[in-house]
Amino acid sequence: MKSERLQRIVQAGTCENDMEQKVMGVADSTITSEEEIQQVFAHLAECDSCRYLYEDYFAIHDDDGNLIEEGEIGETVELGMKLEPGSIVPLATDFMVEGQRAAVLSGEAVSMVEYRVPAGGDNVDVKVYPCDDTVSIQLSASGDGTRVILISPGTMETATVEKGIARFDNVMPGRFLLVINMRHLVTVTITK
Amino acid sequence: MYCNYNMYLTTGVRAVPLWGKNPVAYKKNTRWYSMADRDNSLLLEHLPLIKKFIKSISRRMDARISDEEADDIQQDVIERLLKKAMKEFRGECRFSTYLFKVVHNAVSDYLKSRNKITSVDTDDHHIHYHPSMMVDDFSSSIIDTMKTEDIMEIVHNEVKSMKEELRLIFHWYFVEKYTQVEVARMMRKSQSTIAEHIENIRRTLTRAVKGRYPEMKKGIH
Repeated sequence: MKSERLQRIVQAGTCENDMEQKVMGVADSTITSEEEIQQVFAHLAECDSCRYLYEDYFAIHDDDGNLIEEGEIGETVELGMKLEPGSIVPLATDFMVEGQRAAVLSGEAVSMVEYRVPAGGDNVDVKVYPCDDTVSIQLSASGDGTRVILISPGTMETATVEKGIARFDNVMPGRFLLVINMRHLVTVTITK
Repeated sequence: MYCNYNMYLTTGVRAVPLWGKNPVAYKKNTRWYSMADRDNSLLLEHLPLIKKFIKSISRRMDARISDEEADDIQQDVIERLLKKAMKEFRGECRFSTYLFKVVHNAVSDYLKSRNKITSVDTDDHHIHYHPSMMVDDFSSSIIDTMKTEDIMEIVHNEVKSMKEELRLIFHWYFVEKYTQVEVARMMRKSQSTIAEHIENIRRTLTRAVKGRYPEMKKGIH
């Protein structure tokens, strides 16, 4: 998985729209204008290079913007699953909730997949429900008002946590990025 | 009035005093780079971050980079900053974040050029200039009809027609077996530029050999 990511990064090249500085401005919170933030995330949906830059920035900086010690750089949070008619087959992952690991071991399809991913000091529960050819993604987080952005090639959607839940419906299979509270990133790959 | 400004960057670029207070200038090899005071202090202040970023980013990319390679990338980053990137900084983010971006691009470019040369998938026409054995993956019937001296003659004529710079690169890399990094140092160019030249040389020579022996399937190694 990691070497695939490396290949994708080197193939992505550099940004063709001179947006890198703006992207970094959103990343380090220099840019606070809502309009510019939306512009940047819309751009991340189009530009692989900037998306990797954004991901990698948060991978090596802590919540205060300081460089993390080399030995403490964490793994990318990546979730993978396969969509089948009416069900989902989860792939092995450290972030899967305890009760579902049996499904991974047996390779059986389930009606819902649940993960628990780190997001700052808290954990966020991510539930994925199959729905014909698409999925619904539901995030459970403690902070109402937390913004969650889903970035997939060419599209960007924003949801806000209300009463502990944020939801994205009709999500097409593919590879996309969930950005929780602007800085915690989860890569999700759903194959069909 | 002389500017009593004299400092060394870790790469050995030395600022020399000039007439007048401004601008402060750095001479590297035969070129001068002028630098505004703001750029100067920003870069010097953040210099130690470059190596840290290189190591963190390469670890993040799960790419192994030796200390020597990290030095080369650091040199590349400083060159980029001095030549262009400092002027392009618009203040839309913190400078340390901007530096992260420059280093990220430099590491990606370096890994890209490294992958390009070592990857068998992207180039199946390797050619290795060796007097005694240059042919690989040929059927015996082709070897029966081909003479090693013929290939050497083709390569020799092609190399003779190249520009001096490329002839030097060919000699140092393919014959003397210097590494890309060493060739880059000797020629005072970036490693990625040398890698590109080496790739072009390979393509040229392979095309020339295949022109004589079109039945050749895979690469000559």
